[in-house]
Amino acid sequence: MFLRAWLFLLFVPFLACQRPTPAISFYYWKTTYQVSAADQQVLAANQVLNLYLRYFDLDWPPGAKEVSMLAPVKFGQTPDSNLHIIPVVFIKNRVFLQTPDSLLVVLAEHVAAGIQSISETAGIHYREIQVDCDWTRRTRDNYFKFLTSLKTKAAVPLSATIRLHQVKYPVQSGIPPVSRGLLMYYNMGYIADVPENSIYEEKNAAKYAAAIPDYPLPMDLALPIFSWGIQIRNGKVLHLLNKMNEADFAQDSMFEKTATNRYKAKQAGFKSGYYFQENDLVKIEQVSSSNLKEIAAGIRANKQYPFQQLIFYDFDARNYNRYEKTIFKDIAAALH
Amino acid sequence: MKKRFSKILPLLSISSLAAVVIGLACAGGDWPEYGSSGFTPEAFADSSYSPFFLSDQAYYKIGYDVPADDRFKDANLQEWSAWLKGAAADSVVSKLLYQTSSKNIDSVLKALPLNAGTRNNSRFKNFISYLRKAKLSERYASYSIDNWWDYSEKKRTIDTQTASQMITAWKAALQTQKDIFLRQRIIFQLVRANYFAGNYAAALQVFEANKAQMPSDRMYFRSLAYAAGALYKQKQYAKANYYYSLVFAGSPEQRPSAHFSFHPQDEADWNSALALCKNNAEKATLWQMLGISYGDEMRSIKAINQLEAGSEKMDVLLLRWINKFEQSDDFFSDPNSYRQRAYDTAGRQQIAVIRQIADNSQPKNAPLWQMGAGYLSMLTGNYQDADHRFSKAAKIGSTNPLFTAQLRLLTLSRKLFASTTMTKALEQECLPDLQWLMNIDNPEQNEPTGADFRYSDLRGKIRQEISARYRKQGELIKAECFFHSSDYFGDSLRTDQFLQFLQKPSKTPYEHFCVSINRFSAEDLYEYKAIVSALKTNLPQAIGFMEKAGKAQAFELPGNPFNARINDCHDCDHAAAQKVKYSNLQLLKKLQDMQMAIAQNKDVYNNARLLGNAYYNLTHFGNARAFYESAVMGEGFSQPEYIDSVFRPMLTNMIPAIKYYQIAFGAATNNEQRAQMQYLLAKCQRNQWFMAKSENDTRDSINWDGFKNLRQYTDTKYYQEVLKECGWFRP
Repeated sequence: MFLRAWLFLLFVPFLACQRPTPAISFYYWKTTYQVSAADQQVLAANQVLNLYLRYFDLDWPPGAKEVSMLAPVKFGQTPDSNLHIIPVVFIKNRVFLQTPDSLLVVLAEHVAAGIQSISETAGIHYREIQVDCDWTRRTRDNYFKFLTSLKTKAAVPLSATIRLHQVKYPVQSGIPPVSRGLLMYYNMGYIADVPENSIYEEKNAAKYAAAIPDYPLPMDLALPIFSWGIQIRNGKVLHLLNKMNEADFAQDSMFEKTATNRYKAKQAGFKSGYYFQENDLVKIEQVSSSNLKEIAAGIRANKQYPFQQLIFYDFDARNYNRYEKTIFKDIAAALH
Repeated sequence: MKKRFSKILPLLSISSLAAVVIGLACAGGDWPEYGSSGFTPEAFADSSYSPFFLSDQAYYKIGYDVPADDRFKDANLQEWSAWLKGAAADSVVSKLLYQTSSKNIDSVLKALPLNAGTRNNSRFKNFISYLRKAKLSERYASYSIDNWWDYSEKKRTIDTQTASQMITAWKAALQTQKDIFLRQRIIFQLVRANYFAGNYAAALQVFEANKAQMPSDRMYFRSLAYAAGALYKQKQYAKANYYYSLVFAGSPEQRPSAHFSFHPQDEADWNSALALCKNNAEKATLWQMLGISYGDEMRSIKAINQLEAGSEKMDVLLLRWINKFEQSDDFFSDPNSYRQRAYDTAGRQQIAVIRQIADNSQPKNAPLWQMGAGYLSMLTGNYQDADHRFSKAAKIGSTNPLFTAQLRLLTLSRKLFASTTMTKALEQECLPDLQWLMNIDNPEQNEPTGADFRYSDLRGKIRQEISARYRKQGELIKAECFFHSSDYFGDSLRTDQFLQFLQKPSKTPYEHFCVSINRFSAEDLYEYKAIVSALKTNLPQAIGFMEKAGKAQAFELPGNPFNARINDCHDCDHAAAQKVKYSNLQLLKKLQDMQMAIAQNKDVYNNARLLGNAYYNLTHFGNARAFYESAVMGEGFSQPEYIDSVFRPMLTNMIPAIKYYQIAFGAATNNEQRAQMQYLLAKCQRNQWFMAKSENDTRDSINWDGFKNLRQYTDTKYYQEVLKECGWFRP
């Protein structure tokens, strides 16, 4: 018995040296769940086991009487039973600014019930729930109380998104009472008429990378593969042009290129459901393969403990078609 | 000013035009949904377009929409009543229409007190026959979400089975029904049943086959709206948008939903929609919708004017443009802005377009275009043009009472802004209109203008401008009446002059008017003078003024003004039981007595100590802020920085308290007393240090003289109490 214990101890350090390559997962953020043949190929090629599916949003807009459940996901098909679906609920911070303490438990009940109801409809057996909320110091306590209640009501482990500023300032932000964190390594800047890319900018990322190893929650890593345009008029941001990218504008005669990633509407008109006035500006923000590799290198340099899972945001042909087929595996390997 | 309404989100996709109950939730902020404005759309435009007036909400005045169930309720009842020609009372018809379900029609009918004449009336019988089918149709057509958390409710499976059954029933009814009134409704029901059964092509086909024979009434437009939805579902976006535009033009009740559904994707389908139009009027509607939906009002105005010169379809676009200009221009926000303002080329060009149309295109709504162009001229300093246009608009006239008010407001404004000095002549000329304007809020005003009239922004602007002019002219009293300036009463001579003015026995009508619009009464000013004198420790004067200060005399102070504590705690003092409460006047008299006692060398220590406490408490740092909180000085200042700089030195002045604590110290007979006085002096020194400290100095305390001296009395009980309270004082 003693000998076997010794042998076991010999093996353990050896195993610990072998860092696993992170598993590849995706966020699914469309309002209707529908996986095409091409989508299926991407999932298979990357051995995707977990899919983080947005179930619904919660918001409490100013002037409203109470919180509302928004845009619950519809199912165009039943998810493949081989895929582990993890329900994700996106909660706007202002929900916790307005929900009184006494109603946090009720809110958790509603959320748990909503998740249960949607899952039953789609035949989903979930074993974890993820909450996505960009909480602040003011909402921290209520948000954390909500999470605690939700864990009890839902009776499954919870994970929560952690944004870079929360990793960097864990004392002020607090550590959410969940089993795992999900580090959102994007949306580092402001959506504005400025040169920097609000999704990812190396110099912004560098400010946060060093704080990652010390964060006391086990974490997975989420990386961006999305793009968008920013429509600007008279120096002000009007709105985002969801999922649009360079290619959409480069070929359009209604627009002229004024700089890298920058276009101007030469005349007024409609495009992809958006309306452009003459002289409106468009700033394209996207994350390239080399950006992703740069991110991976930066994280690898700072962080010794392995990320078990790499989750890309978000799963959409518009997004993955902009990259080489091997990109997800390449990034996972770069983090190894 | 209108309070904003907002509703619980959100609407389901409107292409289904399903009836959705939307919860109503009241009031966000107090600011109007249209921002700053001096130009009231309701004075000019067809109110059926009011949801599209400029607003920071989805639709002006109605938030997201009116509840769909209510949309046609009244009209529907009227139409049935008219057709039934009195066969049954309105209350009966209403009950049958709105308070029965498919399951209880028969029992309701049985219970209703209807005579044989009614029951046998052929129209009534037809009504009931129609009603039975209509109630069944509500199963798929009328839908309310009560529980937003219920996923199955939100997901909503449409009862397509019933819909399919009803298609058969309505088809059969249409075959045999000759009466046009009923046919209209049956066709609508058939289109709708097909829509909800998911037979979009069939829904469209039914409409197309029948539309030529349908009078263009409500049922026609409701059918058209479902046809548009059916096109949308079949991804025929160009035609769907075209049909939505027809609904928008022809159906006021459905205007917001048509607008909501209108959604061109690319230039190709937009141009296709235009190509489907039969005439320029239809094209003009599409342009009108584009201008409203996508905020490109000027592009649409130009396009519409080319198609139909002077078209009324431009009116709502012009109103939006003007209301937007009011926000972007700094006219309302910058007190000095309106003269010689440099507005950009684009703005200038667009104003020129508006003028052109007003002058050369014979706009149907001439008063709007003349007033609008005139208003823009006024905002941009072109007063002659404004004058000319307001006169023109006045000549054309309008029956809308808001128009009269708008004209009066703008005429007055222009007159004032165009002049440079307030002459006696101008005062006389403007007095009646100024009185009207300043009294608009008064419900007893002769000609009430109603809640929609936008006057307060221009009124504020006028007050500021006239005040500035009087200042320049050296007429400071009138300047103060029109627009209060916080430094006005900082000067005692000015205060007295103002008081004299208020109390002047024979005033001219204009002077009466100035008094009526100023903020302060004579009593307010006497109270202010009393406070100033008291804080200077001139009690006879303070008492004299306080006795003329009206209600202020008897105002009871919340805490004991003679109390001092180691730590300042005003709430503690206010909450503590007080055997004696002091009014302002009683306090002043008591202070005077104490000052006299000291002069007579009576019980100097106690009197001086209590005087020190009182003078401490009368400052911002003490528990008797209520003494100085007044009309002139303001109230509720949580920090000295919030007190106006004119009054701040006075309200943070420690000198009187220090003086009396020092007297008390000198008259002290034992160390306990000496210790206490030194500590209380330290508090005063601390306050002075706080007021003088620079922002970069992050220290909380220093070794004030009072503390230094207090250390001579370490053997006193008081010293121990201080240590208990202020551990950081410990050496």
